[in-house]
Amino acid sequence: MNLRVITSSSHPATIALEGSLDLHGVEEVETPFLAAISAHPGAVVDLSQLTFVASLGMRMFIAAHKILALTGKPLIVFSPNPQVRKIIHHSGMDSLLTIAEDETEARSLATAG
Amino acid sequence: MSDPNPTSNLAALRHDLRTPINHILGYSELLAEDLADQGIKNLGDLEKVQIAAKQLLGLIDSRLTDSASPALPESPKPLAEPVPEATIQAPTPTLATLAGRILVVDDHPDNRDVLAKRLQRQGHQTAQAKDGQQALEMLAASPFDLVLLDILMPTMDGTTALGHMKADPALRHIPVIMISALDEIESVVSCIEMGAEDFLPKPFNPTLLRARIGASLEKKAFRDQEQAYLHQIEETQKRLADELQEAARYVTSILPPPMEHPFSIAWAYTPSTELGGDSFGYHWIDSTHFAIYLLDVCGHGVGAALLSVAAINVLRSGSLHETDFRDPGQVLTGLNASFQMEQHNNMYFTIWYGVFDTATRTLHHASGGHPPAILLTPGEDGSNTLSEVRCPGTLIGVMPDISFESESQVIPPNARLFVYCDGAYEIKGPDGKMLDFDTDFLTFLQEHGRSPSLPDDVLAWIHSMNPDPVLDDDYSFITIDFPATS
Repeated sequence: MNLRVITSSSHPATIALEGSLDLHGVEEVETPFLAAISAHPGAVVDLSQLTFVASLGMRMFIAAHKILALTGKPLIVFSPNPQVRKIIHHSGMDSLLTIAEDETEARSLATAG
Repeated sequence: MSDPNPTSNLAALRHDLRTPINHILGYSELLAEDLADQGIKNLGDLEKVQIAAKQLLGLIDSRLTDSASPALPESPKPLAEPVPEATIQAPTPTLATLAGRILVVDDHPDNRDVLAKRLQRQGHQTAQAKDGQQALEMLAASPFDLVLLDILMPTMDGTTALGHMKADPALRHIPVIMISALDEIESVVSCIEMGAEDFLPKPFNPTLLRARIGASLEKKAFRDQEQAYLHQIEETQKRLADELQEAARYVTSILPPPMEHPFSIAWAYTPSTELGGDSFGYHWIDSTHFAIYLLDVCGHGVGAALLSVAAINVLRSGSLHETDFRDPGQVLTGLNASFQMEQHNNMYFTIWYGVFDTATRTLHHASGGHPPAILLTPGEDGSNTLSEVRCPGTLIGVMPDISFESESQVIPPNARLFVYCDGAYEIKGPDGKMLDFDTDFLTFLQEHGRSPSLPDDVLAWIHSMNPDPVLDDDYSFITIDFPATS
């Protein structure tokens, strides 16, 4: 499980999650992910290389959502593969997350928000 | 002596001659210590006796030697004499303070007596045995911290007794110090190889005796402590395992038995660890409303199981304030208000909750972020159609103050409903990739959906993908066969 924070001069930053958010993946990545979300509250999250989200992975997104809610910002994710999109849909988390089709849409939603 | 071997005859002669002289030396040293305790430093004739005895020992070792014997050291005199006390490091306070219960084993009563008296002077408790056989009997009868074991004894010699001790799990941890004359060095070596802790040459040097006994007792004390900790850890592990099993039995015991009438309900449940975060149930709310529910707490283990049981008991007992349990939306709204994750160890759960109204054959249902139930409907041509039974709704405990809606649909005759958790399909396939809900799981249900043992069939299918007997997630699967007519 990988986490990349891509910061550039153009706001906002992109946080990319790559691999499987299973039990081990969550253990590895939860703390740095939430730290990155706290440090870059306007960031958008690239899910294009994410292959799976277990229930504890969903809890990580819930925590990120709650951190951002304190600053009035939404959690914007983009490009989930069909399987991850299905998991998010089944969990009803699509009512909490904003899912963009691609990075351009995600950035535009973030700057509009 | 019938032994034709001149070497062993010589050794026996040395042994017989040295024994009384060792007694003289031993007793004279004890007397000297007693006098020193009384402040008398001039030992007079006693000192002459000691010197004469030591000279005599030296003579025995130097004259009664066999050049062919490998047992005798080249220069026996310095070794035969007691080791000068100045060359031996004084025992540490730790060693000096460790007193033990010591068994002295020697066929000669005076040898035992001298040694026992000396050990008692050093603060130890002693017991005596006249040979290996008696020693083993005494060791079996009461606990000892250390055994001082002579090598040459009638009935059962020291080497044999040591062999018995080291072969006995109850005795092998007791340290054994071999008592030997210097020409028994070969026997000593083999005893050390058999597991003896150390050896003490005769005549006994008081300081050496104290140091070796102290070291052996200290090792024994550490070993006993280690054993006690190990025992404590084993006890704790056993207790925890027993308690986990008890908890697992409780979690399973609250699952309802399969039923036949008016619906046929079958299920399979396999937790990932001893305790799972899944739970489910079904019961009559009144004469026409039958509730079916399955919930899945995030994660598994003790914490998940506790929340799972707490939530399922709320449903079983119908104990939500001002809630109509025939209305799934109301039930989930009440659960969400009662089980906010901040108050429940940061855990949420998903749930599918349905109520079947037998009067109208209508299924009312709601979902808290749970995978959709699947309805298998028979067509007129004998084919089966799968459809998802899912009302939008998010995870229970995540957002406060939200309401959950219900949806309803009429259940056709002979339809079959599947309610399950995500552990039924979120598994890795043979290629290491997660199975796909639509193309893998639903396809399997389409092909095998009418199997009377479907819950077990799905579990077998999962295991066929991954041979690991421990599942990554809990597995729960329920089938409900609705009757042809009301």
